[in-house]
Amino acid sequence: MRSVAIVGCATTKFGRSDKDVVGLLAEASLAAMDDAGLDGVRFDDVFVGNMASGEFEGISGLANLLVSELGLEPASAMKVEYTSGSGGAAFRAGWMAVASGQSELALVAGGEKMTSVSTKEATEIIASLAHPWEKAQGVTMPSLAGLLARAYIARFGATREALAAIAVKNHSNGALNPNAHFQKRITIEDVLNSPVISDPLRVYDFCPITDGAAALVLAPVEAQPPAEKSVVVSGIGAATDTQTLQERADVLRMASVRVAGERAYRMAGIGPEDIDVAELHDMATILEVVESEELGFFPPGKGWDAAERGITKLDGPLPINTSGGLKAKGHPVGATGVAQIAEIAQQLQGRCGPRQVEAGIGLACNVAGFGSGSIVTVLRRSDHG
Amino acid sequence: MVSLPAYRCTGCGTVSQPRRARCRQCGRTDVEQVELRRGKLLTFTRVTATRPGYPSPMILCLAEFEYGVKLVAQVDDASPELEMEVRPKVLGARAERTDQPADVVLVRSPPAGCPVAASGRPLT
Repeated sequence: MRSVAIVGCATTKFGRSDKDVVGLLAEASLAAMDDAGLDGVRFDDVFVGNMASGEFEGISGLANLLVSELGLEPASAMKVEYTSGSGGAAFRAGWMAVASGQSELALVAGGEKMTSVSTKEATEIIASLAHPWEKAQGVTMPSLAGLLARAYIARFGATREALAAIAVKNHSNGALNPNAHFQKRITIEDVLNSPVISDPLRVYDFCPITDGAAALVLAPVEAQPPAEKSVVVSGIGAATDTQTLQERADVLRMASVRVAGERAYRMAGIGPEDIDVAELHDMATILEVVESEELGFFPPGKGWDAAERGITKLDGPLPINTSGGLKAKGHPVGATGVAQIAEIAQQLQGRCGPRQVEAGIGLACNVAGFGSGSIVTVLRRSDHG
Repeated sequence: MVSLPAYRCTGCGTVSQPRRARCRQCGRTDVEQVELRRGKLLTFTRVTATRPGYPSPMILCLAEFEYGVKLVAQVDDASPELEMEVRPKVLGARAERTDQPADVVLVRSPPAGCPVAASGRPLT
């Protein structure tokens, strides 16, 4: 297999947009192509990460629409749907196409238009990914996070404030990211006084409903002119877990994150101690904690304490969610996995302005459903030993 | 006593709920029905932002029953506590939800003094 480089990346402004999902995907794709300096070049493959353009906007055939909009015919194209892991799964498809030799140049674009419907309707569309059995009981994604949070606090003696500290951190990072949905810092008190959604979790523990898109251009490393700061995909792993929460041996473990992480580390020939910066799938604050444990950054039951002590802040030893995370940057479902990788690539290249951290190796963890699948990607800057 | 079905693989004995087309441990497709009668509350959450057709607030839980089977279910108790004993109660599907394939399960705490299911060990 060939080594694959990320040669261009971009995201749109996340928030409420007047554009439809095709317009958002086209905007991000054009910016990524521009970033790659590839004016007029022919793409072999286009992969589009999107969950529910049909449900949100009545649009199917999304990959073809994007190819037409960008004039990329006769590139091969497909939409990749993997619920909230759609972006990461589309990236993995693009990586496979280039690594296998099938594709010399691939575009990976992820996007979702969510504000076309009411919050109630959006919650219902997202809840459709739950297993029918659990869905019949009335579960929503936030309610599963509430079950997890109470169990975590009870077993490990975590404080409610530690979870709030994650929201505060991610809002603080988002305030330094001009493309984040929220540009506003918040306090622990703001989190603890916000309305209850699914106790013990409150409004500020959850990501918002957001429109947005992100795109990446992938090419074989061997075809690239030697560049000081090119970004290489050094490891990638994907795995599943049960679709239901109730069938997991331990409600506080996310096996898909653990296994995908192990596979990515093995391919990259590194361990969690080598990661300098990470983007995790913080749909709810508690998930950033559990994922940071499954990826081996902290022992099980210790992730909350690390967050409370500031280990994962921008100036800490392991910055997590420098982009603002899903919490503050926003979670346009199909865009998220692609946007996470774009943030890590830009961190490795030193292009993150006021939220820049020192990093040579970074990790992105994109989660499908409520942990029913995960894609973990490790990126390395080419000049990093 | 009210019970709820779960599905035991005739090959390896693994009990599943909901039923699967194929056993995740041994790959067999044949199952026999077993009954879940008593459990304990592992965790719960009071949901205020509920889906259309569901009460708000509504308490959801994860409870563990015989054979180590766990269920996400509604709780019929305004003040649940972790480790509380629970029993299943199957609700009739409501008209607006007849298209859904699953029974809606509600668990309620039984009278004091009932033995509690221990993980993986049948009480029956």
